[in-house]
Amino acid sequence: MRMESLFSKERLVYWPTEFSDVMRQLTSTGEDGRSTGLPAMYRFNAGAFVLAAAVGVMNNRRREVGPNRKEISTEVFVNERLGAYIFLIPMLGESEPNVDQLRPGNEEVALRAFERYAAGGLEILRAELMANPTQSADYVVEQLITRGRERTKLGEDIPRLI
Amino acid sequence: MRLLSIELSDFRGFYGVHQIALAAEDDKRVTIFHGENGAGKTNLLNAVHWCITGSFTPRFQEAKSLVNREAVHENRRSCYVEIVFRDEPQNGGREYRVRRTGANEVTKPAEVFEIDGGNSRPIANADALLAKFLPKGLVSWFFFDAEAIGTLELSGSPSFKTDLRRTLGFDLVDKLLSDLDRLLSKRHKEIAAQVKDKKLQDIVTRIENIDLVLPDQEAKLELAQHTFSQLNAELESTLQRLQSLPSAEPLQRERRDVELSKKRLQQAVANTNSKVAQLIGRAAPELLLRSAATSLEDQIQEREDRGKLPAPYSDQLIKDIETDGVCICGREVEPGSDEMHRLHGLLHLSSTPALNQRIRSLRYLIRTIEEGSSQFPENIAAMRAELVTLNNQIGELEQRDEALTAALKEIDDNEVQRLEAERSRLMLERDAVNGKATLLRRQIEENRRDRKELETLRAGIELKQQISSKLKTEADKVMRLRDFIARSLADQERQALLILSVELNLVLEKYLTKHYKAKIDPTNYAVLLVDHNDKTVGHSTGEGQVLKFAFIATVVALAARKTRHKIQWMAEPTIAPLILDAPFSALDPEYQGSVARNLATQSTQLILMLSSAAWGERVAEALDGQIGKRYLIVSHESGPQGEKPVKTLQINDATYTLNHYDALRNESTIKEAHL
Repeated sequence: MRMESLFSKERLVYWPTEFSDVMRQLTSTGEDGRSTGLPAMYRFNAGAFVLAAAVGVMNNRRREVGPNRKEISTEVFVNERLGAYIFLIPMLGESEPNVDQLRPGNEEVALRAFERYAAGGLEILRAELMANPTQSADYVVEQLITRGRERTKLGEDIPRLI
Repeated sequence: MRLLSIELSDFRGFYGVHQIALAAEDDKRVTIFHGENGAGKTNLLNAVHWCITGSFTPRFQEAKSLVNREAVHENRRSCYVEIVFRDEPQNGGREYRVRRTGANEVTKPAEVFEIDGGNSRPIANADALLAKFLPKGLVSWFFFDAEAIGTLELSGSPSFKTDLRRTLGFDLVDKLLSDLDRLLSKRHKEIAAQVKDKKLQDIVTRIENIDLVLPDQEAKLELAQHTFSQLNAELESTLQRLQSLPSAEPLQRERRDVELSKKRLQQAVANTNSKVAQLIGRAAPELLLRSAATSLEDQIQEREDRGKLPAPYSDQLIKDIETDGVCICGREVEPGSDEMHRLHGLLHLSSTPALNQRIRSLRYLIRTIEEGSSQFPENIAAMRAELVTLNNQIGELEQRDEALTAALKEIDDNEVQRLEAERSRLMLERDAVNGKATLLRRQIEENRRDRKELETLRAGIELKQQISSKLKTEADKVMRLRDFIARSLADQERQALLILSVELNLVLEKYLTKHYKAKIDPTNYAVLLVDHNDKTVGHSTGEGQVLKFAFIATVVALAARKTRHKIQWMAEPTIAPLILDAPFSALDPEYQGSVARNLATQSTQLILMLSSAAWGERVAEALDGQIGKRYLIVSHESGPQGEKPVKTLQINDATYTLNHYDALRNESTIKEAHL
């Protein structure tokens, strides 16, 4: 079955180069692009990007990408079945989400908002990883989610990881 | 470089003056010296070695006693070796004479003269000229004590890789790159000083510090990795010896099985940890977003329930009305009319295929998030339970391992206890080296990452600053040159290793009776011999010895650009004679002929020193037609023969005596034999 693209054309999503080390930790790759041998949460940066954007939007943290940046094609997100997150996350960041945000005319707005949340999330993730240098990335992320759950004091039965 | 003649005076076993002319033409480039053990072959090799370099081969004994003992008794306290050699025709073909004089425990600097039309012109910097012809680091490849072939290490030790890279000229390029890095660093410092930016200066200093530390760390890591491999090999050997002892065999066999099972379980733990990480990676966004996504879904559903979603009309309807000029109620709608304007105003609220697709995708994602976030914890819990089970099993195996080790320690057998102690020591050392390597890897990774980030920051700051265009241009030029040379070096290395591998395999295919292949590891240059099942064959086998000789010959040929396949070299080739002392005593007889043929083919000039045992039909046939000069090194004993044998050598139809008794003095003489 042909995978339909959610985008009017192939676009690029940008992230700040200064968070390269965070991306590498989440994908367990070294400076040379090779695997470090540690368990990797994600095969591609797109997966790590979505996590960062989710962390950013749930912590209401946005920041500009800046001029020193790297790019990921929207096609990578689509191939990894993550394309819909690019629309979901900006909507979740609005106080009054509106499906009109999904109109093609607002595509650029959605992409930029997604980027900003991801950049904000990468900041948070970097701080967490630096605060726990001896722990694996998946453990640190797990702890982050657990603390986030406790902070929101949700009444619903959020499934526990362990 | 071709050696034309050697003159020895009172050097070691050679009393008085001995003059030897060497075969130096392309078609007759082999000189053979026949002599029995102790006759003076190694002395002759070292005469050449010492004259050119001022030093001796590693196995040379009593290196401080240079002057012939009989000469010393006659009050002659010094000796000399003089060599006349010629540069290659493509370099001008000039002739030189090098003389080195020495006394016991004293070696004087060499004197070098250029010979021009019968006149000798002294060369000012003799050592530099000699090093140009034969760099010190390469001497051991060209002047080879072949009885030491067994100790030639092809296993990829750091020193082996360094030596080989030096032979191929890569160390010169490394030096050039290092110099360019320093120059670049200097330029960046000048830029930082010019713009008076403290942050930039700090960044440049930090980059410089990393550049100072990183090469040393990388060298230490390479050494640690090599040491780890060696310790593993030693441990394996120790365990095999232990298993061969009857008193220890059953326990060691069981312990080996336990260790293998433990390794398999540890691999299973690693695989499961990977799966856990991937599961958490997939689950994390879903768990984070679930609550908000569910709320969004409720809003979308509410809109749908109110009939607002999808919009009650599509954009196609409005376009059709515009085209037809008639509304669905039947009323005419003129272009430009108020009605048309109002209709256009409703377009932004209409339903479109793209919008509907995205809404569908979003709702699908939200459902996936809801389902996934409830399933994943269960899956991860199951995996964690699996990890607990695996770790418990590993724990049990470790206990069994300890019990077996304790039982082995109880065995009343000195050899068993010695091997057990060796095993413990090797395991401790190996784990320590492994720990050190892990730490170094982390440090190197951090340094490389920091350097990259600092470089990015530096470039960013420099971009913003008003830097003199001259400084910037210079820095850019150096950087581009450096990058170009680094890329070229990487290409050359790849090609050289490929050619080395191809050439080696051509030799092995031609000369070996078994289907073995050579493989070279590009990371550490280790040369492996593998069989048709890709299983490694030891270097101490007959075939392994052939590999070593073939390797020496191929390296020499590669350095002299004599190989079949050519690459564009960045450094000058090293063309020097290959001098081998007693090369075939370590070799299986069936391979002696092929090795001899290969050595003669690959070198520009070959000087072989052979005992009578090594000179047989095969070697004679292999070198037939290429021998330009043949000599005998004859030993003379002043004492009576008694029961001692007289050694002779048959060459063609002539019989030569290689040792004499009742001589005037103890000495070695060199006599030319007919071809």
